[in-house]
Amino acid sequence: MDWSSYSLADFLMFGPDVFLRLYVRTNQDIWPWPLLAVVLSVVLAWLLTQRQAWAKRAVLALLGVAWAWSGAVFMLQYYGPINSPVVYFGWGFIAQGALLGLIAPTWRPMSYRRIRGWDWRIALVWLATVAALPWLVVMESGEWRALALFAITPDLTVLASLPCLLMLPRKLRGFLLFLPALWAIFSALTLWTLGMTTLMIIPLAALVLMPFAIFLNRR
Amino acid sequence: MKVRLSRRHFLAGMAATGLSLRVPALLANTPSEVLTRAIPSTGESLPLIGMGTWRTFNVGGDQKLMAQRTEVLKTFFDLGGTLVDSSPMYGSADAVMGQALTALAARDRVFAATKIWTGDEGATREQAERSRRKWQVPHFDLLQVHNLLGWEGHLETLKAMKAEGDVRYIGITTSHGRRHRDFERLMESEPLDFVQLTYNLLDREVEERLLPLARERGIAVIVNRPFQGGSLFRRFDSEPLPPWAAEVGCKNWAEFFLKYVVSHPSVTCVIPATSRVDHMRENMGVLHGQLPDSSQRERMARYVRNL
Repeated sequence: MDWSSYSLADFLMFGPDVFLRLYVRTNQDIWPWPLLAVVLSVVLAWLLTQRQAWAKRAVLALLGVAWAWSGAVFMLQYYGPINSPVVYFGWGFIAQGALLGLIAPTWRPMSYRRIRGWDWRIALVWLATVAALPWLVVMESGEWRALALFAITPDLTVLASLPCLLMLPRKLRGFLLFLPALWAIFSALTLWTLGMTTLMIIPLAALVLMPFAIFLNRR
Repeated sequence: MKVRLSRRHFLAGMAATGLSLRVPALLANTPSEVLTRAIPSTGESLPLIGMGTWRTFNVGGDQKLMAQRTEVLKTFFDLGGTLVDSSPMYGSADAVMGQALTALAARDRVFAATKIWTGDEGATREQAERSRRKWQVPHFDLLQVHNLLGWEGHLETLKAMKAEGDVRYIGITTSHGRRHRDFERLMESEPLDFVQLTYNLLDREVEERLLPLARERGIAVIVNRPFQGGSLFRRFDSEPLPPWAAEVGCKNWAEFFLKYVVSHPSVTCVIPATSRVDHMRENMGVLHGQLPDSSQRERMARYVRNL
C-alpha cells in the first residue's frame, strides 16, 4: 500500500459535531457524577498542599481513579465506538490507573521539604488548570454541558497529572509519562485534522510540559 | 340532453383542466420519475444519486445524532434514492445504518452496498456477515473490495459468494486517485459488476482510461468524493454560479458539481455524503431535469478551472 498518498484526514471517520457531542453525552449520561469529579479535583489540590506521606499517597490513588475513570467511561464507552484506536488508549488509561493505585499504598513519596514553597504553587497551577481549561470545549461547542472535566476527559487528565507525578522517582515517572505522551500526540493530531485548533491547547501544553515533568525533579 | 353550466362549475372545470396540465410536472417530482441509469451486467436501474456514509453516519451511540441521520436517510428515500454505500472502515456507520433502516422500515427500499476492508484475505465471508448483521438486511446487493486491500483473496471469495447467491453484485473500490494501474488491470481481467472511484470537477484523471474502460467492459461505475471531500464548496461557494447555469439545469453549486459527474455516460451513480437534510435535498435535485451534454460539460470544467 502506498501510504504516502494518504493524509491524516483519510483516517478520521467522524466530524467535529460528533466529537463535541461526546462531551455533552458523557456529562449528561453520568450526571451527577461530574460533580464528584469537581469535588475530587478540589480534594486533590488540597492534598497537594499537605506534606504528610498519606496525603501524597492519596494524591496518587485519586490520580489512579481519574485515569481509570476517564479510560473506562469517556474513552471506552463514548469515544472508542467512533474512533477505534481510542479503545486501546482506553484500556491503557485503565491499566495506568490501576498501576497508580498499586503504587499509592506501597511507594513512599519523596518529601517536598527540601523544595520549600512548591506545594502551594503546584496546587495553584492545578486548580487553575482544572478550573479554566474545561471551558475551551464549551467555547468550541457553544454548550456548557460540554465541560471537559478532569478525571472524566483524557486530555485534561493527562495535563493535570504532570505536576502530581513530580513526587515520584524519575525512572518511574518516565515510565508513567509514556502513555500520556502518546495520547497527547494522538489527541493533538486528531484535533488538528478536525480543525479544532483551540482545543489543541490542552494536549500541546501537555507535550510542552512533559520534559519539565521528567527533568524538573532530578531524583 | 341539455347541460346547464353554472359559473361555479365552469370555474371548477377550468381549475381542474389547469391542474391536469400540471400533472406531468408534478409526477416529475415523485420518486418514480427520477433519472436512472442501468447496471450494465443486468440492466437493473439505479437512481443517479446514491448516498455515501463516510464521516457522516459514524455517530456511535448518540441517539440525537442518530435521529438526525435517520431523517437524512428518510429524505433520501422519499426523494427517490436507493443505493447506500458504507464500509467497516467507517466506525459505527454500518450499525447506525442498520438502526436507521429499522426505524424507517426501509430494508426493502435500499440497495445495500458495503465493502470488505481487512488485510486478512481469508476473512471475507466473516466480515461480510458481520456487516450484514449490523445492517440487519437479508443480504447485500453489492460487496466491494475496499481500496483493493487484500483483493486477491477477497475477490475470489466474493465471486464464489455471488455464484452461491449470497450477494447480487461484486466490485472493487479506490479513492483519491490511488492505484489506478492496478485498478485498470483488474477491470480488464476480472468479472466485475461495479467499480467505485473518485471523480469530480477537479479530479478528472479517470476520464482518460478508467471511465472509457468501464463502458467498454460493461462495468457499472459508482463515483465517490464528488465534492472532493467538501473542498469544492470551500473553494467555490463564495463564487457566483455562471449566468448559464440554468441552461445546464443547475440551481446551486451542489447540482453543478454533481451534474458534471453524473452526465458522464460511463457513470452509473454518485454517492455524496451528508449529515444534513437540506444538503440531501440539494443533492437529490439532480435526479430531475436535464443533464449537460458533452459541450456543456466542457464549459462547466472550463468555468471552474478559470475561477
